[in-house]
Formats: sequence, C-alpha cells, structure tokens
Amino acid sequence: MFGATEYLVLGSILFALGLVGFLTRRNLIVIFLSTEVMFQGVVINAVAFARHHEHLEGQSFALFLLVIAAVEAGLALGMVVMLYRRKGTLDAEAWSLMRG
Amino acid sequence: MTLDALTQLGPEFMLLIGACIVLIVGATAASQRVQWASPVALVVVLLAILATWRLGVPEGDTSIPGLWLTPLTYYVRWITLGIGALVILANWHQPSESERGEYMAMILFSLLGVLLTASANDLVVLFFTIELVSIPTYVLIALSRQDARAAESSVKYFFLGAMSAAILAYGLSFLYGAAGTTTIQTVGSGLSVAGHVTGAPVSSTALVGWLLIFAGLAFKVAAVPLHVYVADVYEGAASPITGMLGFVPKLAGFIALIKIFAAFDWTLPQSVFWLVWIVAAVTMTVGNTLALIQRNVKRMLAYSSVAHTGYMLVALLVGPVAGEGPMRDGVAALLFYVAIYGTMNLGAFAALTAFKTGQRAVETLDDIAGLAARAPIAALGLAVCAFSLMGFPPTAGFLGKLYVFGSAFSLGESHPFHQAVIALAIIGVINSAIGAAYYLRIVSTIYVRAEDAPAAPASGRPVRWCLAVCSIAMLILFAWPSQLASQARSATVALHATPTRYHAVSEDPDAANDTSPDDFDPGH
Amino acid sequence: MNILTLIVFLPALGALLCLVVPRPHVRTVAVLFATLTFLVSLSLFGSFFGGAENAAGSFFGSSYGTLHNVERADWITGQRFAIEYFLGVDGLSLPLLILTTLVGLLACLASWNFDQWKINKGIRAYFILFLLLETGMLGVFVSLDFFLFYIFWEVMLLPMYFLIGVWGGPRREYAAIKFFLFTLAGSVLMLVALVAMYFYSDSAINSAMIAQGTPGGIESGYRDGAMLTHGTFDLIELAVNPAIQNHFNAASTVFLGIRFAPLMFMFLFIGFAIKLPCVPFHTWLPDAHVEAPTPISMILAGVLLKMGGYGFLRLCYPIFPAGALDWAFVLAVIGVVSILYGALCAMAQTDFKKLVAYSSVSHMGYVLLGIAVMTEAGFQGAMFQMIAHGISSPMCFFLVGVIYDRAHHREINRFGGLWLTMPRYGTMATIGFFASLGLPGLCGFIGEVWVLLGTFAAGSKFTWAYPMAILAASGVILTAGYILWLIRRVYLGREKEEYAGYSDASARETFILVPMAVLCIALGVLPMQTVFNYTNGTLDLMLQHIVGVIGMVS
Repeated sequence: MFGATEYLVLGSILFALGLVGFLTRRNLIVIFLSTEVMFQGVVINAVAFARHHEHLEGQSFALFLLVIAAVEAGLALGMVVMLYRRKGTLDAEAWSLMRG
Repeated sequence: MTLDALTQLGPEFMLLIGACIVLIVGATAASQRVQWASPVALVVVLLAILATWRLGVPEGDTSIPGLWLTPLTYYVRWITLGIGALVILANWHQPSESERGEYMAMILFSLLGVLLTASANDLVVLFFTIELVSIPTYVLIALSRQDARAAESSVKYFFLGAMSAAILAYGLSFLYGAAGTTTIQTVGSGLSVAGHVTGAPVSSTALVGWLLIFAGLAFKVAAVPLHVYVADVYEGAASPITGMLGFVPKLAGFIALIKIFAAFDWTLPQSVFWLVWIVAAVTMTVGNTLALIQRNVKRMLAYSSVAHTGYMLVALLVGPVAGEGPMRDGVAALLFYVAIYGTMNLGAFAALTAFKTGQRAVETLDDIAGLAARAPIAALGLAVCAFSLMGFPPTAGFLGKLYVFGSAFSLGESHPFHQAVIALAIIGVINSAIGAAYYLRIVSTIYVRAEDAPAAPASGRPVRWCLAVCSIAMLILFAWPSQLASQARSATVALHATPTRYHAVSEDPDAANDTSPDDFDPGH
Repeated sequence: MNILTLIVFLPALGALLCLVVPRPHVRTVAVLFATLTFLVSLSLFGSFFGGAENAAGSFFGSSYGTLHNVERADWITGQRFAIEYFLGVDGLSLPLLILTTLVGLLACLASWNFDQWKINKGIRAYFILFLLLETGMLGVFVSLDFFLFYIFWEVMLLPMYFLIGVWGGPRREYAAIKFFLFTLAGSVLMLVALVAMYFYSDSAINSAMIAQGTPGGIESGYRDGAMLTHGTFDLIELAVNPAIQNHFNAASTVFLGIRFAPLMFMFLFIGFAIKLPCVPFHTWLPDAHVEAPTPISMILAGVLLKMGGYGFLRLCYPIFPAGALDWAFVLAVIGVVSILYGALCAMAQTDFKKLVAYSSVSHMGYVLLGIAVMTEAGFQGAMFQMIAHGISSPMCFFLVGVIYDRAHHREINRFGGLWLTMPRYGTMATIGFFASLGLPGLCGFIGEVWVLLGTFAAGSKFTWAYPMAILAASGVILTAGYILWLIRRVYLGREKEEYAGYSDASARETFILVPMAVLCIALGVLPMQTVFNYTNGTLDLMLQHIVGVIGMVS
C-alpha cells in the first residue's frame, strides 16, 4: 500500500511532463495531448486526496475534470481541423501573423 | 432542493434555455430565420435582467448544492447582464449569418458562466464555471471573422487557456487536499481543522494550491507574466468581441480570486503579500509601457487591459473592510472598477466597430486619423470612453481609480503593510498618468490629425446604440455613482458572513479609525 | 438658485444652447452668455457695498474662512465619506472670478471673426468648448471642496486641449498633447495629495474625538454648530480646524517615512507650479501659446496661469504652513530664476507671440516670489500681480493677434513703423506693453514693487531675502530691455511698404482693447480702489493664520 504522498508525486510527475511537453513541442496535436497529460496529473491528485480524507468529494472532482478535458478535446480537434484546412500544416511556428 | 430553491436561479435558467434555443434554431433553421438570433439573444438577456430585479437580493441562500446565492451574486448578475446586453448590441451584425446562432449562444453561455462563478460555493463548481466562461470565448474568437488572424488568435488563446485551466485545477486539487473539503464556505475552517489554527501560517500544501490557483487565474485576468497572449488575441479577434474579452474573463477571474482570498481570509504569509504586490506593480507598469509603443489601437487597448488588471490587483490586495464603502473597502472598489472598466472598454471597441468602412476593419492609428470630421458622434463616444479609461473626470473611470487608490490609502497607519500598499497606489497613480499618453494619442489622432481616409463609416445601428449607452453611462455614473457604489459595498457583505475569521466590525466611531484589518499579518 | 452656481453654469447653459441654435447665431449666443456671466459676476460686488456700515470690514470677517454666497450640498456620499458641492467666495477668489468673466467675455469677442480664421470649421464645437472652458475656470475659483476643485481643475483641461489641438497652428497636436500631459502629470501628484489629505484628516478627527471624548464628532473650525465625524475635503476646514492642522503640520506625522506637511506641500506645489508656470515646468507654455488661436491665448495667459497662483494661496499655504516654511528658500529661488530666465528667453525671441509667452513666465515669477516670502506686502503684491497680468497679458496677446490677422506672420524683425500705419492700434499697443513692462502709473508696476517690498521685509525672517530682492529687481531692467526693444522694432521707425495698406484697429478690436487699456491705467493709478480693497483683508487674515500655525508647530 502506498500513502497519499506517492500518489501526489505521481500526479506531479504527470503534470510536469505535460507542462514540459506543452512548452517544448511544436505539433499542435502533441501540444494539446500535453495539456491532457496535465489534466490527468490533476485527476490523480484529486483522487489521492479523496483517499487520504476518506470521502468522495475528490472522486467527483476527478469525474468533472474528465468532463472538462473531454470538452476541451472536442474543441481542440475542431480547431486543429480548421487550422489544417487553412495552412495544411500543424506546425505551431507556421502561425505567427501577429507581432509587436 | 426544492423547485422553490431553483426559482432563485431564474436569471441563470433564462440564459441557459435562451442559449439552447438560439443554438438549436441557429443550427437548423434557414438563414432568414437566423436574422432573429441577435434580437432573441438580447431579449433573453433582458428577461434575465428582469428576473434578477424581481428576485431581489438573495440573502446567502445555500439550498442549492454547490451554490451560495449572496448579494455578490446579485451585483454580478446586474453588471454582467447589463454589459452582456451591450455586448450583444455590439456584436449584432458581426458574425456571418450562417454562424450567428452559434455565436449568440456562445455569448449567452459565457455570461451564464460569470453568473454561476459569482454563486459558486464549491471548488469544483468554481472550476467548472470558470471553464464555462472561457470555452465559449475560444469559439467566439474563431467565429468572429473570416480572417486567418482570428483563427490564429483563437488557437493561441485556446491552448494557453487549456494550460492555465490545468494549472488552476491542479491548484484547486491541492487546496481541496489541504482543507479536506471542496465547499468554499468551509475551506477556511477546513484549513483550521486540519491543524492550522487562526492566524497560524497556512500549510505548505494549501500554499502550493494558492500559488497554482493564482497563476491559473492570473491568465484569466491577464496579469503579468501570463499576459503575453493578450495583444495577439485582441488583435486577431473582431473588435466587438474583443470588447467582451476585456470584461467577461476578467470579471470571472477576479470573482474567483476574491473567493479564494476570502477562503484564506486575506490572511496569507508575508511572502504571498509581496508576490501579489510585485505582480500588481509589474502588471500595470508593463501594460502601460507596452501600450505606449503600439501603433495598432487594438493592441494598445489590449495592453491597457493588462494595466487595468494591475490597478484591480491593488484593490484585491487591500481586501475587504467590513461595513465600509468602496473608498475604504478594497473588494467593493474592485467590484465597482470592474463594472466601469467593462463598460468603457466595450465602448472603445464598439467605437472601433462603428468606424468600420465596408468590410475593412479599423485597427491602426492611421485608420482612425481625422475620423471626428466624418463620424462626429462615434468619435465623441470614443473620446468619452478614452478619457474614462484614462481615469479623467468627468467620467466614471476617474471615480473607479479614486476608489481603488483611495482604498489603498485607507489602511491605517498601524497596519503592517501600510506603507507598502500606499507605495503601490502611488505607482498606480503614476502609471495612470503614463497611460494617459496613449489614450490621448487615440483622441488626438481622431480629432487633430488631418483626415485622409475616403469613405464615411457605415456601420449598423445597434453598435452605435451600444457606444452611446457606454459613453453616456460613463458620464452619468460620474455624477451619480452612489447607487452602484453602495451595491458594490453590499456585495462584499457576503464575504464577511463567511464562517471564517473576518476582522471585527467596529460599530464605535471612536475606534473606527484604526480598525483597519491586519491582513497578511503572519504574526497574529 | 445661488448666484455662484448661476455664474459657474451660465456659460455651460450657453454651450447647451449653442448646440441647438442655427449656425450663424452660435457666436451671438456665446457672446450673449459671456456678457450675462460677466454682468452677474459684477453683482457680487454688492457684497462689498451692500451694507450701511463698513461693508468691506465685515466682508473679510475676523479670521480666515469668512465666506460669502456659500452653497453647500452633499454630492457623493458613502460610508464615513462625503464629497460636497461647496461653493463660496472670499477676497482671494472674488477678484479672480471677475477677472475670469471679463477675460472670458473679451476673448469671446475676439473669437467673433472665427469665419476668417485659417481653420474655420466647426464653429459650433468651438464656442461650445469655449463656454465649457469658462465654466471649468469659474468652477476652480469658487469651489471650496477639494474634490470639486480637482474635478473642475481637470475638466477645464479637456476643452483647452481640444481648442488648441483642433483650431491651433501647424504644430497644434504636439502643443496640445504637451499641455495636457504636463498638466496631467501635475494633477496626478495633486490626486495623491487629495486622497492622502482626506485620510489623514480622517485620522486626525478620529484621534481628536477620542482625546476629547466626544463620540458625536468634533466642532468645525469655522462653522458654528457643524460637527465633523470623519475626514473632509473642505478646503477651509482643512486649513482652520486646529485638530487637522496639528496633525498635518506636526513633525511626527509622516507619509511613507517622509514628514507629511512638506511632502504634501511639494505634491500640491508641483501641480500648481506647472500651471503657473515656473521654470523647470514652463516648457509647455511657449508651445501652447504659439499654437493656440488668439482668444485661447488670451484665456490661457489671463486666467489659466492664475490658477497656479490661486492654488498656492488656497491650498498649499493655509493647509501646510509647516511645509511652506521648509520650502520657502527653494520656492524663492524658483521664483527668481523664473523672473530672470523668462526675461532672458523673451529677449532672445523673434516670434512675437513667443516673446509675450516668455514674458508671462517672467511675470509669474514675481507671483511665486511674493508668495514664497510670506509677508503681507509679498502676498498682496503677488495677488495684485496676478490681476494685473490677467489684464495686461491678454491685451498683449490680442495685440499680437490683431497684427497677425493682417500680416499672417509674427516675425518681430519683419515689422516696423506700425504706429504710423495704424495709429489707434499703436497707441493701445504702447499702453499694453508698457503696462507689461511695469511702467509707474500702469498696472504692472504696483505688483512688482509690492513683491520687492515684501521680499525686503522678509529680510528679518530669512537671511536670503535681500539677495533675492536684488536679483528680482534686476529682472525689471531685463523686462524694460526686451519690451522697449520690441516696441522699437515693431511700432517705431519708418513705415514699411508691405504694411502700408493695413487698416487700423476695427471697431470690434478697439472695443476689446479699450477696456483692458482703461483697466491697465486704473489699476496703476488707483490700486487700492481697484484691487487691494477687495483682496488684502483675506490675504492678511490668511497670513496671520499661517504665521500662527508655524509658531505653534515649531
């Protein structure tokens, strides 16, 4: 059995991996997947705390987080399609019309 | 939960049902019926205002799980729906006809999110409502015009928004972990029960949670260093929706910040105080400095929006003072300011929309040169809004600044951060003078610069109405601010009713002098 | 309705009317309302002559803070917070009020030929802004609530900005923005002082309530029966209430670690010094004057600059006497530098209007010096200098405008012999410029002499007073230098061919010039009857108050 700390560390590793991916990758789909990884880190965090406090509030938090993540996934895919139609590439560097 | 309790959510249900109707009709019906999307959306908002008025001020009703209806809800309903109606006017003809249904529905959903943020009494609900505010705005930007820049800014905004949402959620999960509850009302006592007695330093878990939440919300309110998206997003989105972007996420973000600060009872470690202090100082300075060097009016207003966030953070830092008006109560000043800011900012963007000639959007300073001669009324409206943004009398923007900086000065001389907060207010006052330079450039370009653009602007009537209402409201609220100010004041009463550690309300005028809160005092 | 409210808002009412009347009648309406305002303001003299007994004595009362035609009403109120609509006049504001309505009327007449201007679009907007400007200026001189004062102070900027920016000369955008930002920078400091003074007076009153054991509030310093329970914006109360004065001027009261009174004094001082303007802050003035249309220059020189001096006398000195004492030397130096530097700059100018603008800097230096030394003669001289300059400088600017309308340039060296070409105009010009020079018998003389006397009189208090007085006196010589040189180059000498056909001053122009010329002489010959009788009572009482507070705290 593990205590809460181990789960929190796991959550933070996932969150950090997602954040690093978000900041370093160039493909829009991979960038989006990185934010999903961040959300999964949060979910593990919430469930770990729920287990620590021995009640269900954290579990429901986790479920709601999944809903939000799903909504964002839907929106992200729509946007990716829109961008791909315009430019034929998903490289984030290709989108820099505005400067200054 | 009874049906009676649900009627308390009348305005929210109006928006929800209205948004669904507009969405479904927009998606299915023939294009001539889509013409009705904008009027229907406006009627929905007006009905919601009517419902708000009929329901009156809720007195801390917690019968609906996850929500807590307070005077804060009432105040936020009023300003959100009022400005929301103006947003709809400004966007009346903006989206292409085939997308108008979705577009108006998204506006309504976003407004609904703000109303629920004000009532949220659960960390999960708070997160949900913040996302309900944000997600429609991503769509709105993309739909607002057929321009590659709109698509780009929508994507930028969305991806950064998704990241900040993750950070916010991560912070909320830590706060939940530290408090052992997700009910905001009891988070404070939860922190105490978990071994943090009154005034004792909060646990590091809670502190990590606070930091992450602050970072996540700093994105929503556009505070430095999470402001980088603002200029691009404002430039890419069409002008009328930009007017909304300056208000809706900012309001929701600040309400959430107020709730989180209230959960901590404004009793945070010294290091946290200085963090917010630095963020506020840097936000207003960076915003104004960057705005000063812009040639694109929308980018200029974007950075000015960052600067205004800085002013609002000053008021947030001052915190609530029980039983006082906005001149002393920082939160009341903040709520007053955000309403004023939303109106004048929307007015400025409505003016840019009204200047539009044909299909060409008005964006740079050269585009607006000499427009006073050809569109005198719209130019006057923009001038009023610009002077209000500048904080210049006789406009409400001046009172907003006075209340915000006044509240900072009101901290008693015995307060541990008395000097720090006053210094911050002075930085703010100096900043508002720097800000005057670029707002004045806008006015100058319209009135003084020789005209060279050809055609007279031809824009729809609704956007002109929006501009007229915004600018006249700025003048009227200057002459009669008391109503709005006292509403803002009573909105903060709810914060004091939380079962947490609020500063004692002194009824004795003798002692009233130095009842200033010992906020952020680590040693008490 | 109270007469002061009427005076202040009569021009605004005219502006509203200008909005609706047909275009050709706009200027008539504007002149009508400017005249009405002037006539109504003249009726305030009734306060002096109304009573059977010594009316002037009762007018000034027995202490600083005796007001007339008072109007008070709550405007913005909140929890322990009240901003009042509070108007009133005393010997300090009344002469300036009448000066404003007079210069306003004359400048309005000077705008009569608007259609012949280079930029003659938007006559309606021009006169509306003009009248709103007059309302703003009048409001500054009569409002006695700091907040209201600040509002009028700021509001007046807007029409001025547009009047210079839209109807000005070629570099109008630059000049207008510079004027606006300079003044705004000053008012930002004033805003800090406004808020700080409110909360410090709040704290002073609360401490006094605790000390006296009177939870119902403490007595007002000058109003019978009035009680104070929280901070105030009342400018008289801030000056005369002992509790507030003790707290403000005590050495132990600090703001951000710096002693309160000198700091706030400086904040307010910089705000007003920019307006006056004195030397490090004066650079907006030549630009604004050169670009502004003639009537606006008249207003700018005649009234706006006086607001700086008025601000010193109404706010800085009575409220922060301790600060006044600390800064006296610095202020006197600034004053003397302004006198000399302004005169030297004026001497170097070839642009007619710029010369007159720099001469204003020089003349306003006397005002600052007279106030800085804090003697009776100094205060009286400063006040007289403000009124005198308020008459002579609009006259000079109008004289420049008259010739500019004909020649369309302002190069001093290209003029010559204008007196022969335009005898009536030449005569008026001589009176105006000699008044500005300070020729005995004309208005400029009295103010300068009184200031110099006051500075010498301060020798017993300040060791630096004598050198200052000597330096300032040498400014008179410089002034004589540039004015005489100017008159020689422009008006004397042989008649030039290119100006031969110029018509003399028209009836309208003469009508504007004659009252100013008459006043220049009247003020110079009868200083008591025209100015001192109306101002000195209040100034002396104010000085007594200042000296009293200084004696108390030091």
